[in-house]
Parts: sequence; structure tokens; C-alpha cells
Amino acid sequence: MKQSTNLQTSYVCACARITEDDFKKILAESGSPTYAALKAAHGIGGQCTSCEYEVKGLLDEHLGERFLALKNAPAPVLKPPPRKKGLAGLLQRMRGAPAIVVPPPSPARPAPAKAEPAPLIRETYRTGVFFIRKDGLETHLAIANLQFPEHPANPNGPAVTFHVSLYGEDGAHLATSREMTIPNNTSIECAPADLFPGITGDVIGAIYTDFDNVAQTGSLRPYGVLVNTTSTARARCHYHDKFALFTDPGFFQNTSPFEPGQQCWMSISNCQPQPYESDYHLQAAGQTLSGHLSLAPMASRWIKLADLFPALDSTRPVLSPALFWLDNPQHVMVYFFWHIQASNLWMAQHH
Amino acid sequence: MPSLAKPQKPKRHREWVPSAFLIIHDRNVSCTIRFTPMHLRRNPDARYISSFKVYGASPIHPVWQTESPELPLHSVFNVDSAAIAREIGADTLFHYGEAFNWSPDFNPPDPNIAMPSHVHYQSADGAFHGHLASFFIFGAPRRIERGDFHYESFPAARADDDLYPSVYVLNPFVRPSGFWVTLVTATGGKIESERMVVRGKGVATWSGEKITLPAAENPVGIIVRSEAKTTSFFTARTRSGQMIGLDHGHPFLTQVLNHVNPVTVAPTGQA
Repeated sequence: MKQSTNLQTSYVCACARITEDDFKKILAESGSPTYAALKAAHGIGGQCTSCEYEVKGLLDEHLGERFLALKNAPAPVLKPPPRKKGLAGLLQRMRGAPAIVVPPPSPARPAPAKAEPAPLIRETYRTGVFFIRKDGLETHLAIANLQFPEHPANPNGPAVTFHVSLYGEDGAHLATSREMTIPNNTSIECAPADLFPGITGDVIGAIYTDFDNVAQTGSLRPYGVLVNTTSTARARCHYHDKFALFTDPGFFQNTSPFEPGQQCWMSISNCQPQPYESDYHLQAAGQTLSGHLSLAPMASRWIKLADLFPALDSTRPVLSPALFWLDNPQHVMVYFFWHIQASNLWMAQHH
Repeated sequence: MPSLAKPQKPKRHREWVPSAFLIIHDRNVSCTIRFTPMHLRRNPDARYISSFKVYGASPIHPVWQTESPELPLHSVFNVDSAAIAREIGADTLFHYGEAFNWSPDFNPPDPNIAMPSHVHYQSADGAFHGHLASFFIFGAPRRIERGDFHYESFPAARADDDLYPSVYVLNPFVRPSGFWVTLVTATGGKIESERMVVRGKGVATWSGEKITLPAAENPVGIIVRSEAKTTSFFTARTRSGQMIGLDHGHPFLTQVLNHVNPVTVAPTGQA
């Protein structure tokens, strides 16, 4: 295998001496480029093969952009077929017009000389995260409305508005925030008291953020942030939006549910209008334990995993590595949180 | 005559692709890298294989690699950082890792062409904690905004008397990439780092430890700008050195994310 000789350069393929600009030019001039065709025609990725992932990624990006450009291109102006004369023309007129109908030119709305970008479609963007205010911990809502640095303006305008709905442990709608505004190029962090001043006391649930009339997601995908308020266990754990109504292709799972010195908690929020029923399982130390959980529509739970398996001695170090999973692929918002006992810290992650 | 056919999405041959992660290990910090096929698949009849590579000075030759035996669906393939450090003969690891998880029995039936692993970080002194899936190198079915550079963002970090953010940048490609970290303050001000470089198949880090902003300028959004399509994750650290938050950012998306449309789960035997 030939080794590339100039790794610390800007070549996409160092063996074939193809820079990124060269590569873009090759793609632009190729009818339907594939990795194999690029390899055959230009030697890209053909020798040491270490550029394969980047080449495939760039190719993938190029094909996607090419498709979008085609899709957004203005429809071609079609000339009507020449009008036939004599008997053929008479028969054509009797049969009716051909399938292609060209509208007559309208003097009131002349065709633009240059294609204009299609107007941005604005729509509501719904998101969701688990919410807790209990045991000295609470969820804040974090959102960044950052303009794409190479754009002259934010496609979402000078500000974005949104409101947040809170659903409780049993799925009941508890509150909706006032309409909030986040100006362009700012970030906000909202505490429960900012969003729902009328709600006091402990709450387990989920918050759903609806952005009104946005043209793109940009940087708006919100995060929950688990912070400690009165608890001495420090936390500032971001965990991002997981709202969805689809069916997941895999299982909600956790490969580190019982690590030595750590207590793992699961939060689960049913973001769908139908109940969620699932068996859950733990495979650890040569045994499999199971149980069943139910969640009403929009309901949430905050569960210490050890409490799901009372027969298990969760302090046994041989439990790691273990595997925890839920059977039902109906999408629910699942996050795992670990309390690290020695350093008294929290960490979090979605499934 | 011009064609009236609607432009067709290019047909792409789906194949399994790897994903990237940071491996870190020293006297206080360790991590486990674990793969279960259950994360993204449900096919109980298929075989699954997981291979991990760790890269050092050379972006072509891994310094360590391993491959699982054929795995059933309900399995976990586990690698400990301590074992890697021992086998390499190093006391500390701060390396780029790559997980290639795949099945010899079927190609990806949907846009989930990478089956990630999960990395669980833990430390005796609280310096590094977290749980992250390995990062997509390419193939995520999203419409990502890009210009001359690639960008990722992260919301509501804090740079105050108590906390500061740090950023880890992974470069899954062979060539090095320049990158910059920008803090966008709560009032729209920008603080940009100088250009830094992450080498091919390497990891670099940026720390905001020296930045303290007044309350009115917090929280801050973070933008990572890079020349190649790197990927980033972000931490929240206390001034006393504890890590109390670790999560990944997102690229800027040109679409309005729509998580409503159903994804068809292929029946048993296909995926």
C-alpha cells in the first residue's frame, strides 16, 4: 500500500494531489459522480484510501445541494409545438391541445429577468424536553438564536417568538408561558419561575417549546439544562430537544446503567397523544430482569433505575457492563442522568 | 423537448459508516466505549460487528485497534480505556477514536447509516464526567447550512465567577483543519479565539477559563467555525476544576426540523 507523502496539507486526497478546490471543480464537471467513478477517473481515494470518509462526505453534500438546486430551479419555459398545417393540423385541433400548456404572456406580470429565490415558508417548530423541579434540582430552558455567521441577516428575522407549555407527571396540562421573544444573536436561559410564575412546588413533567413562524431551525434547537438550586450536588447538564412522533428504528437503551459509584436515573416523557406501554429489561451479571411500565398521554416519570429492579443488588461492581432497554419503539423522550457519589456531581444524556 | 420529469433524489447506495469519539485516560480519568446494536436496529437474526480504532501521531495508522466477534442484537461490546493505555504503553490518552459498527448481513435500510457507540467518562476527582454517543462523520439526514466554513453551535454556556465553558473539537479526516471558537454574549457581543489547528484524526481543545463576563453578558452562545467538517462537544466546568456538564452541539439547520413524519421500521429480517 502506498503511503501518502504529504499528510499535513490541505489536500483532500494527498495521494492524487487533489485540493478541495480541485475536488469541487471535478464534482461540478461530473454528470453523476460516484465514489467509484472519482476513483477510476481521477485516482481519488485509490491508493492509501485514508481520505475515503471525507470524499464520501463531500460527495454526499454535493449531491444533496445539486438536488436542491434542481428542485428549486424555475420550471423551464416550454415552446408550444409548431402548429401543423393541412389535414394534420385539423386533426390536431380536433383532438385538442397537446399535454403541454403554455400560458399566454401576461403584460401585467412580466417574467423576472433573473430567477428570484423562493419565498421562505414559515411554520411552527415544536420541540420538547423533560422537566424537573424536585430535590434541589430544576430544569432551565436554554435557547440560542444565533445568526449563521456567513449570512447577511437571520432568515428568522430580527427576533423569534415562542411559548412554552408545561405538562405534569400524569400528563395534565399545567401552564403555558407568556409569549417570549429572543432577539437575533442572543442566548437565553429561562428558569421555571420565568416561564411559569404561577406554578410552585415540585413538578415532574415535560416542557414543549413552540417557535412561531420560523423559516429555519438554525441554532434554535432548545436544550433543557439540569441545574442544582438547593442541592449540594452540582449540575449544569445540557440535554437537548427530543420531541418526535415517529417510530424509532432501535431501542431506547443504556449501556452504562449500573456503574460503580454512580446512581443512574431515567426520565421518560410521553410526547404523544396515545399511551405508552413497554416492557423494560436489564441484562447484567448473567441474568435478565424485566418489568412493565405505562405512561398516559403526555405523562412523565423520573425513575431511579435501581428501583425498577428491587431484586438486584445494585452495589455489586460486576454489574458493569450491563444493558438496560425498553421494548416499545413508539417514540418517547428518554434521558439518563447519573449522580456520581464520590464527587457529588450530575451528568446527563439522551438515550 | 425539455423534460417535465420532477427532479429525482439521487439514488444512493447506503453503506455502514464509522463514527468518531474522544478517548481520554489518566490517573484520574477513564472511559468505557460500548456498542450495542440495539441502539439503532431491531433485527434479531443479523450478526453485528464492532471495530474500534485509536489514532495517535499518524492519521493513517491507528496506534491501537480491536474488533468484536460476531455480536447478537442483545449484546454489549465493551472496551476500557485502561486496557488501551496498558496495551499502548502510555500513562495518558487524549486521542481520536473511531468506531465502525456494522452488519455483514444487511445494508442500512434507512438514513441511519452509522451505528454509534457510547462513551462513558468518569473520574475520581470530578474533572471529567459525561456520557456521549460517538459523533456522525457524515450521513446524517439533515439539511445543514454551510458557507466557506463549517459551523456548530451550543446554547447558554456560562463564563462567570463560578463557571466557564470548554470545547473539544474532533477531526475525523486525514488533513488538518483550522478552527475558531466564538462566544456570542447575551447582548450580542462576540469574542473570537485565534485560529487553532486540529490535526487529522485528532482532537483539540479550547478553554474559556480566562474569560469572565458580567451577569448581563451571560449566558453565551458558542459557535465553532472550522475549515473541515469537524465535530464539537462542550463542557461546563466550575472554577474549582469540576466538570458539571458535557454535551454536543448542533450544526445550523436550513430546514425547520420536523419530527412528526413517521419512520418506517423495517420488519424483522430486514433491519
